[in-house]
Amino acid sequence: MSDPFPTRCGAGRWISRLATAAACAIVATAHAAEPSREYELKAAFLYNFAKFVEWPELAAQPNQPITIGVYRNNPFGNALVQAVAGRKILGHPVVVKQIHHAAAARGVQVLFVSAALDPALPELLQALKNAPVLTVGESATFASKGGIITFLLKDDSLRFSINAPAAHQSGLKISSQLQKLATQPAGKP
Amino acid sequence: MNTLRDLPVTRKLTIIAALTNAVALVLTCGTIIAFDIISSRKAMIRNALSIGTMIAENSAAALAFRDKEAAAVTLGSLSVDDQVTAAFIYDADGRLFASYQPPTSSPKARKIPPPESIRMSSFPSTTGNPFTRGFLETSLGIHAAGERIGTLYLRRDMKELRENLIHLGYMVASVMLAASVVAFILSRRLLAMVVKPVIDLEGTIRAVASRKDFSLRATKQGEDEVGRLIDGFNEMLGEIQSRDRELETARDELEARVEVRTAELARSLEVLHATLDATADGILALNRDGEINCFNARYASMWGIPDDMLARGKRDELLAFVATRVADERAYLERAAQPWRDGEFHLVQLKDGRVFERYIHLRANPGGEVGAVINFRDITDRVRADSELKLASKQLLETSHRAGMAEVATSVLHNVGNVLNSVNVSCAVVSDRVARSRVASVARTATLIADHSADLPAFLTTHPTGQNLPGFLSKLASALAADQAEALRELQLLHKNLDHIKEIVAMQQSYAKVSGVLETVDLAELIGDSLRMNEGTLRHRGVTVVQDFQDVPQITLERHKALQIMVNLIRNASHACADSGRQERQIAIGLTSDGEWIEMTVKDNGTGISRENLDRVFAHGFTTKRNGHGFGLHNGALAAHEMGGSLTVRSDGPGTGATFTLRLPLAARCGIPTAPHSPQNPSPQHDPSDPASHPGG
Repeated sequence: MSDPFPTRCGAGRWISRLATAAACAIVATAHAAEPSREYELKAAFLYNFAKFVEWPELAAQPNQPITIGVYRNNPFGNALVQAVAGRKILGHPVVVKQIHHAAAARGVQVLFVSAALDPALPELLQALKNAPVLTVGESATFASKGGIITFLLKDDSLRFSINAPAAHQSGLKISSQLQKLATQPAGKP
Repeated sequence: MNTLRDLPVTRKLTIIAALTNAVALVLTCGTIIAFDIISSRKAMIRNALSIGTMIAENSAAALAFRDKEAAAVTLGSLSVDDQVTAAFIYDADGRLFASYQPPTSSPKARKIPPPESIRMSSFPSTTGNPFTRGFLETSLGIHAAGERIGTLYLRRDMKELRENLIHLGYMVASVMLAASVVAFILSRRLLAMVVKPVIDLEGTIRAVASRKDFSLRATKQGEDEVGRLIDGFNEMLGEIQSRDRELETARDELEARVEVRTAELARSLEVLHATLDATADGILALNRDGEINCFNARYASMWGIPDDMLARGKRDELLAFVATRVADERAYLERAAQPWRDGEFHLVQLKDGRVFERYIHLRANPGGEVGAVINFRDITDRVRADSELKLASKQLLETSHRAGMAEVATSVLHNVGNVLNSVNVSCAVVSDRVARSRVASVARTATLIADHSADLPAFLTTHPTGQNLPGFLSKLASALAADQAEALRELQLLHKNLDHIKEIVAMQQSYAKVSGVLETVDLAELIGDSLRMNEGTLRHRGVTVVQDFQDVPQITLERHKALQIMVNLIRNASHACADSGRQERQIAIGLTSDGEWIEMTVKDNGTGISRENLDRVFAHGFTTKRNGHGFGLHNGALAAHEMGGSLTVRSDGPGTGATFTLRLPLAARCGIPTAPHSPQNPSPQHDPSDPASHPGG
């Protein structure tokens, strides 16, 4: 277990600091509901999700990158790319990819589906059935339609819920810490 | 240290035991405490590490998703450990993200640490001291998927450690106290076991020393060194006791012996004093320095010394007093001042006419000290008697001289008579020879030859008488020669006898002059002369003479005296043989010498001498012979005495013969007749000044 503080320097450090600063600013000004601030935070969350999830096929391939896909509509602008730029998770480089077709979505590890694409969800999730893809959505029905993680806004803070059966079905292992942080999905007892 | 040395052994041992005990306890407890501190610190660190790691892991997701509530909840779980006084989570940029500050903690324990302490401290640290300002401060990185996303800071109170230490201290102190008490009691008991015999022994020693009672004994309580020491001490006491007893016995014996000896000594002293006082001499004993040791009563009385002077016993005073009584006072004092010589002898003439002999005898004491015993003998009476005796002997001498002249005349006549006997014999022999001479035969032969002078050759060759004539002539010649020789010998003897008569007469003449002629004489020859002089007598009486002469040295003496004695003895012997009437008459003459004396013995087998006559034979006028005058033996004895010898007789009685022995000294003695020896007069150093000391003069 190496200490990253003394060795960390250069551009990556500064980017990270800017991103964190931005995220904090978004949290502090959540009432302003500035889409860009919200998505900057969500971009950071997407990256952090990847840290607490295990992909079965990745364990055997240390150099394969972890790909975060954005399905069709990209609300992050440049924020997501900046958030992952130069970062690695357990040795795997992290890349962002724009996905346009449901079939192509199977090749990514994390797939963000914005609320605007709600209608296309059944088709997409069907296509990803049993595929080890961590799906992250924004709509209230995302989980019920088979999505795994859903962003929530609670008490002006960004939170998320986890659809554990779906995750289990897709063959992903979600860290218990992440599960503890997750808000229980609405409608469920 | 000295005070410790002087303490009683019990206390000393107790102190030593307590000290040893305390040191051992302190060392043990110190080690335990040190070990406890180290191990509890390690345990604390381990504890902090495990708690911190757990919290860091559990708060990683909350930090990653910036869920402060979740982070606070996680930190809140630290409340189970009341030692944690504060915990803070910082994000990757070092901003405080979540904090845990329980209200029970003190403000100091709760306060947020300065950022540099977060930066600098890391855990586990190998070099730095995590224990600062009374707290254990721990910083741990928070990681998510291998990426450090923040830091956990944990502060733990060390109150527990301190409390533990205090508890431990109490425990140690109480254990030490309890151990000391137990050790003290135990050591008292055990030491008593060790020390009691020593104290008992000391008590016994003190009792022995103070009471001088060697019959005491120390009681042994074990077989250890002290036990052996006590054995040795008791043995020593026994030894001393037996020695004491022996000493006492020896002392008693010694005392008894000293008593006996003292009594003996006292008796001897008494005897000595009695003896000293009983002696006729005055005795004064002086020591080396001339001080008076003792004197007897006689000494005081003969000098008339006053009692008080005797009591003072000062020698100078005594000497001065004594000197005043001496005729020549100065000479006496001078002599007294001279050093003593052993055997020093003086005559001291006193003013009152008495004469003392002063005789000094030196005596050496066993200690080497030389003192003197001075003897005074009052010889006044003796001196007087001496002078009277001298006078008497002078008168006697004159008388005897006159008487002696008659005796001498008798002696001369006797001796001359004796010799004349021999002269007569010689004359008779010569005249007999002459009478029986063959001169007639010569004359007859001459006539025979004259008768046949014409036909002498025929007569000598044809006539039987003529034929025998030459043989006859030669026989005649030898017979004549023998006659001549005998006649000559007799004439020689006659001549000697005449010489002897001359000597006798000369001796008689010289007798008044009391001197004799000394000659060196061969005694064998002298005896031969004596025999020759008696030849006629011996032959006449048919006495055989046996001679047994040893080789003796020549002797210097008055020849005629010895000759006279021997002639007389031989004549007497032949008479004794003839008178006995026996057939075998023999005289044995012996000559022997023992190197100092010469003895001539004349032994006969004649009549012998009766016991009562043995004492009288030498007396003047004694004779057993009809025509004797009793002078020969008397004269012989006197002559022998004059020559320093003696004439003695021995006979076993009548009929057994007699042996006369003339004994003469080989070393020539003075032939001068001496006065009879005076036995009462020893010859010490005579005072030449005193004529009385020469009694022989």
